Parts: sequence; structure tokens; C-alpha cells
Amino acid sequence: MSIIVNLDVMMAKRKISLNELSERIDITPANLSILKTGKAKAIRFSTLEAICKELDCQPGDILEFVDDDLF
Amino acid sequence: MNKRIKILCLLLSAIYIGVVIYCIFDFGDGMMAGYRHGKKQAQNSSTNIQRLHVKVKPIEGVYTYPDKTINTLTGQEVKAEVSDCRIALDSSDTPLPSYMKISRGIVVVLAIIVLIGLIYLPFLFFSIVKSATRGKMLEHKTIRKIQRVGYLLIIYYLINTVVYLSDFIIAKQIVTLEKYRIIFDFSDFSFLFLGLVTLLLAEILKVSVQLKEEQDLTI
Repeated sequence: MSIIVNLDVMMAKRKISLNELSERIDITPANLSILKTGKAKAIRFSTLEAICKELDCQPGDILEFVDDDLF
Repeated sequence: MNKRIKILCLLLSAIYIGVVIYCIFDFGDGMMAGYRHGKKQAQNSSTNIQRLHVKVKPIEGVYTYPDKTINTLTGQEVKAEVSDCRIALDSSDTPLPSYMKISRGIVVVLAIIVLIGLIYLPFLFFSIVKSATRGKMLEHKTIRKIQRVGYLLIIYYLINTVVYLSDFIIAKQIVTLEKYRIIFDFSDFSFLFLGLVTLLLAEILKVSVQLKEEQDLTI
């Protein structure tokens, strides 16, 4: 997949669990898990904003582009 | 919206059951007639009646009413015209072509295929209706069933056309009617049209499922 979600890395840096983060940003743990495992097809700006606000980071810290053609 | 779907499904089911019951009686009549005909032929081996089902048109043109019959209500003679008829041919009077046996064999096989399809179709149909009432239309399993209905309708149309065509070709070779000419009517595309519309619906639902999956996976 071209866009890699590094949510688990940021969560580990901020020492916050999935359940706690999901409660704070009002998203179900199931949906957050889908995002964390890279199965999500799209992310809303409102969700990205809520995550970045909570984890005190930039969107680039959560999302990373990897060119598949290089592999 | 679910209530509307349920009402439509109920109406559809009621109409479908009505049509199936009517067809069973119609089919039953045909079966009994075929059985009686077969039994009579088996008892009297010297006669061999072959039946052909053909569409006809008056030689003078449509609405020329070449035939006459009596209106039993008034006792008056009325003019009439047929467009669809069954012809019974006695092989002792009319030599039948040898390939007729092969074509009859093919028609029997096709009839068995149609019978299997007609038995399978109600199960498919009610399964789709059940999925619709439970709000499970946008699932791959339901879409596959809708596709199968489409294919069955198209196969039925093709088999019907082949059977009519076979009777038409044989009739043209051995029969010439006094007031009518035998025609092959290409205009009845209803089952083909229904089948194609059903397949189109399945494709549209596939796109809907893709959009739904994307929506579900949008966090």
C-alpha cells in the first residue's frame, strides 16, 4: 500500500493505548484499529485533526507515502 | 425505506406466487395432454402424430380475418384470425423428415434444462426477496443470486427461441396452410430484456457495494 499509517508509532511515543485514544477522540476502537492496521480506505480531515490534536503531532507523523514502484 | 422495500417485496412475492400457480395449472394441462397423446400412440403404433407449434399470419395480411366461427351467445357467424397455432401431423399422411427425430431429442433435452431452471428460479427469487427484507441487498452473495436470475432468464429466452425455430424450420419444409403463412416472430424479446435488465441491476449493485465498502472503511 502506498500510504502507510504510523499511528501505532505515535501512540507508543505518547504512551497511549488504543482504547484510551478512541475514547478521547470519540471514535470506536474497531475503527481506530482498522486505521492503525492500514485497512482503512480513506480518512476524514476531522478524524485526522482529532488524532493530531490528541497526540500533539503533525499529519506527516501519522501518514507516510511510500512509492510502490521502487519495490 | 425498509418499510417500502418490505411492502414491495410482499407485493412481488404475491404476484410471483400467483403466476407460478397459474403456470403450474397450465403446465399440468400440457403434461396431461402429452401423457394422453403418448399413451394413445403407444396403444396404436400405426399412427405417429407430431405436433408443431408455430406462429402464423394471414396470407392476405393482418386483420383480414380469413376464418369464421360461431358466436354461441348470439348464434351469429363471426370472422376470426389466428396468430399462434399448433399443427398436428400424421406421419402416415405426411412423410416427416428424418432429422425431426434429432430435433425432437434436442427439444426434450432443452425442456429438461428449462424445467430445472424453473424449479431453481423460485428458490433464488425468494432468497433475494428475503435478503431485501432483511436489508442485506448490498452483499456479494445477493448480487451473485441476482446475476443467476439474469442468466436463467436469458437462457430461457434462447431455449424458447431454439424450440420455436426448430418447429418453424420443420413446418416450413412440410406444411403449407391454405389461408395462412408460417412466420417466425422475432418480436418477443421480453425474457431477453428482463434478463439483461437484471444483469445490469447486478452490475449497478456491485458498484454500490464497492462504494459502501469504501464508506465503511472511511474513518
